[in-house]
Amino acid sequence: MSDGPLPAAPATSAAGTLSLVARRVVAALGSYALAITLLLVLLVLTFFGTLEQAHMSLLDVQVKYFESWFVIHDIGFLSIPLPGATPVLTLLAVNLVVGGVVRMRKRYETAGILVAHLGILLLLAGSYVEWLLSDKGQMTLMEGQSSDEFASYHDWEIVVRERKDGGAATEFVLPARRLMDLEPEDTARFASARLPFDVVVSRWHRNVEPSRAGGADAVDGWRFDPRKPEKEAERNLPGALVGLAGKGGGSVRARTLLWGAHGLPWVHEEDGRRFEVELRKVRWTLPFRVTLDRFVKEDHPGIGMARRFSSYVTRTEDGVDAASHITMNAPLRHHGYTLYQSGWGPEGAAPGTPLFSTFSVVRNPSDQVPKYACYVIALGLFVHFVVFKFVRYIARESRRRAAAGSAA
Amino acid sequence: MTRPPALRRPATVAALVLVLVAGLASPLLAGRAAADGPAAPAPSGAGAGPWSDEVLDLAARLPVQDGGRVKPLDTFATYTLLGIAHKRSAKDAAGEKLTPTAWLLDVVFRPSVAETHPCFLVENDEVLDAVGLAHEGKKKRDLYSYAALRPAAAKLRELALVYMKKDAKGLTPVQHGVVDLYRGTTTFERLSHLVDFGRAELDVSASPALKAVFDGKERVRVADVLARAPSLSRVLPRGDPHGGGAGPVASDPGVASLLARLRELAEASNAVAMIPPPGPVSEQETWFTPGEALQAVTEGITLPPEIQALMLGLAGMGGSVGDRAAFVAHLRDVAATAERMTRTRGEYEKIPLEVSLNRLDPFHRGAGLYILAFLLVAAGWLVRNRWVRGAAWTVLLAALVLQVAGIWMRCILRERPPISTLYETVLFISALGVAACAVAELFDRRGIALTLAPVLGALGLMLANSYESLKGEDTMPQLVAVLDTNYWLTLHVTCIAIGYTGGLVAAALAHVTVLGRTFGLRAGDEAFYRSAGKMTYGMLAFGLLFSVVGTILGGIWANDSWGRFWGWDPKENGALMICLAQLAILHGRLGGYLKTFGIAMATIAQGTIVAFSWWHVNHLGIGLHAYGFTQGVITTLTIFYVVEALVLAAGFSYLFRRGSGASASTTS
Repeated sequence: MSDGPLPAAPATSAAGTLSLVARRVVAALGSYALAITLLLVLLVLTFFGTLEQAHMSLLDVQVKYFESWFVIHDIGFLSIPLPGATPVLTLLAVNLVVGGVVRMRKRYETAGILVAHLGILLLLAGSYVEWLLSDKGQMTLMEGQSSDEFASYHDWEIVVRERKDGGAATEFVLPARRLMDLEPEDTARFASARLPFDVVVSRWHRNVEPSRAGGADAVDGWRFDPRKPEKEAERNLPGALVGLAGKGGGSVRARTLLWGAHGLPWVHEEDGRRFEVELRKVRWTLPFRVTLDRFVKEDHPGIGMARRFSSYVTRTEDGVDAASHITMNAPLRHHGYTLYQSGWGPEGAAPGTPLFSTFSVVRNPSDQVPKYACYVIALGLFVHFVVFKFVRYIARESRRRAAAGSAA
Repeated sequence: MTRPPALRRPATVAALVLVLVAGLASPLLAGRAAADGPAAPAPSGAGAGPWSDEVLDLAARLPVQDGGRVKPLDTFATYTLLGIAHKRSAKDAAGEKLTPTAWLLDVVFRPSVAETHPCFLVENDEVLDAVGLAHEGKKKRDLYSYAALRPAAAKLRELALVYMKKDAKGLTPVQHGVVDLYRGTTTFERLSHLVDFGRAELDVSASPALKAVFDGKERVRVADVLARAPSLSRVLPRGDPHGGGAGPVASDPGVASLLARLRELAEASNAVAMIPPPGPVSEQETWFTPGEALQAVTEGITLPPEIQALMLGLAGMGGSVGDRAAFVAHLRDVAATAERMTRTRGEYEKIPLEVSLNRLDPFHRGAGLYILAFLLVAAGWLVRNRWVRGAAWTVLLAALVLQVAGIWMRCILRERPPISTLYETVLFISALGVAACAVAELFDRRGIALTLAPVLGALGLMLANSYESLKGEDTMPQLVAVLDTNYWLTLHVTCIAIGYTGGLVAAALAHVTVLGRTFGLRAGDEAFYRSAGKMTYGMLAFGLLFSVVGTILGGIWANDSWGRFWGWDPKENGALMICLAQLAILHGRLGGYLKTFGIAMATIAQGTIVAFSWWHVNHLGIGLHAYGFTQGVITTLTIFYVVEALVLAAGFSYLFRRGSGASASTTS
């Protein structure tokens, strides 16, 4: 990075002016001033985002402060406008590339800094890949139960399932991202060539409770009462009015209220075809099956504090079984998926009661990138501060003292 | 300047220092002498007056299981007392000082005496107003005896039960005080009944069958019951011993009455698990309380011989408080049996080391030595004597060695790296801070780092000691499942703590520049300020290296444990904020925006971020590192923020004055 004076450029032609402007923009993008500003804005955002967690769920804080373009943070009557972490981190990455890698003077002494900057870029790239491509959810199994599916913590989807004779089913899934972005007053229409109707979703609320009601708003004697988002976002139960309408803008011919806590799907029959409509958490399928053989919770003696949670599982793939042990700090990694021990229950279960175990399941292509980034950054900082700064300082001091001694 | 004559003689200075150091260490030496020497005749018996050294030593080493680990009774006593009195010692009614073990022995074996010991700390006398207790003649914050509090017991319980149902964060200080006092009195009561079974007399006259078992005696003690347990089991009713409730019902009223009384005594004797199971740890890890062993007897279960011996010993101790010789004989039996049983299970090896650690008390004594070192450094400013400076170095290093020895002993006891709790971060960070200052002083011998080293050491240890007193809990607790990994504790936690150290020492050094310049100290000595600036920069860079690496390592650990590298958890955010602040300062320096004074100001602000990340986020009550809400911690942090804000304000006033001066001279 450099804030030094720009070389004088003749601004006699349009091309020259453009070149001067471009160079000034590049200089600004790679400047120390921008780096410092961005670091401080990110610091302030992080501070506010930390304090806000006392009032909002972590997910909401993440969305508001760390995945947004713009934030307004309220302190009492004072509203502070700030850029969100998305533009800040993007600009920081640009600043790092322009000022910290491309324009930085490549000298023997700056090698460590260059390496550290490359490490930070690697870390940011890994985080971006994770944000873009990872799937995160959980799987809960009772002892003896098995599954090859895991469900998202927060994201919901509406699925229209057609059951054929013989039990086979085809599913049409309404994209979660479009649903989650809906406001209560929005209406969204989804169409598929495979369905004989369009699906119309309205009155989407991220957390509701049903209540008995009459009047125009009610559907089958029920309506949804919106509730404040939960402090733990995974406990939100969304609801929506779902209508099945004639294709190509036709009118709604059947409708229902779907709620996240409904255990059973809404069934609609049309022209001898049977459709099930369900609001559920987004699901992904694993390329293998997991069976929970046994869950063990060990307590420290004489106190109720857990010392260890252990799940003994069988992983089944292509008909072949393999035993695995999942415990805290020792996940199961297989085929790009990782299963972590994250919970258990029921709490306070009497001896002999069947237990369930909950696994966090993650697919993250950049899973190990932070580790390599850490090595690179550590190496860079060590080379710069220890080899170039500290060792040289000691050598300089020794020479100074020797000179002072001989002078005396 | 004329030096005081005594200080001209190096030998005198050295002798003075040695005497002071030895004075601070003397209780340790005394403790060891008591432990290793022959059993000297006690000044008085167990029935009255102080406990003999032999009794105290034997009792201190008794193993108990508490808080999920096996520890000496001395440790149990220390933290029980800390929880009640928030001090590591108590006084009896006559004002004589009691060690924790002596206090606990009084509570358990001489409850009527212990009731008069003023050992309940009431932080605010409004607590007593709330429970309707008069407190004329006492200070606002004062110690009370159990006997003095007894009249308010019912009201105290009533209020405490209401407050305990509420969120602790929403309670007022007085309500907190009520809850704490109730917990303290409950603990005291439970302990005072621990050996009731040894004191009790049981009437067996109503049952001929029982009289036959006890050789015709009409009144017996629990020791007799235990001694005749096999014969007694023949007259006890048969039934499902695990049927719950009061157990099987006897048809003989005399037997029924005896059983009811024994169960009542068993119920009262559950305050601490001090009976190891006879088998190996792999078979049963959880120890028994005396009450559980007694309950087993009422169910007709024959106790294993070792447990029988322990119970007989405890009952004997409870029943012979007035007879010193008998008490000591029983205690010797109990100590020997407990040690044998615990050794067999492989759980005794660390007991002597922990007793030694308690006696060494390195963190209280270390704080004293750091203060002494600071006084010597300050004396060195006045007399400019190399021997005074040498003495300061000696005492400083002695304090550091003591502190490191304490940390090392804790590592051995816990089989953990130096840091696994918030308390341990203070010990580690202050030791490392002192060491870093000492190293810095070796390179730059202007006395700046040498002055700061004892200040950091003393402040760190006083903070650790205050936190220990405030919490009143064992500082070697068991860890939750996710922390049960020495690999990550060593890598990430140590790295982060080193980063905190760098940031805090840099902030401390920055005060020299800001306060010195602001108040015109050493005006004109630019070399001095250059040195302070260089050291601040060096420590900041040192802190950045470890903060960045430690923060990323934390993410890697989280990725291994929970499946996400970064979760915006408050502790993670705090670590990130430190890195961002340090990076901003270093980039400000490289870009020429910050010079020596600006770097110092920014580094002080960075120090408050370190404090926020280190302590404050743990007390926000959110995230994965929430340790609950501790009023004293938040108050201390608030004071720290205010003080640092004042220092920064002073710094800005200096900048303003300097700016005005510069513009005035330009104008003129």
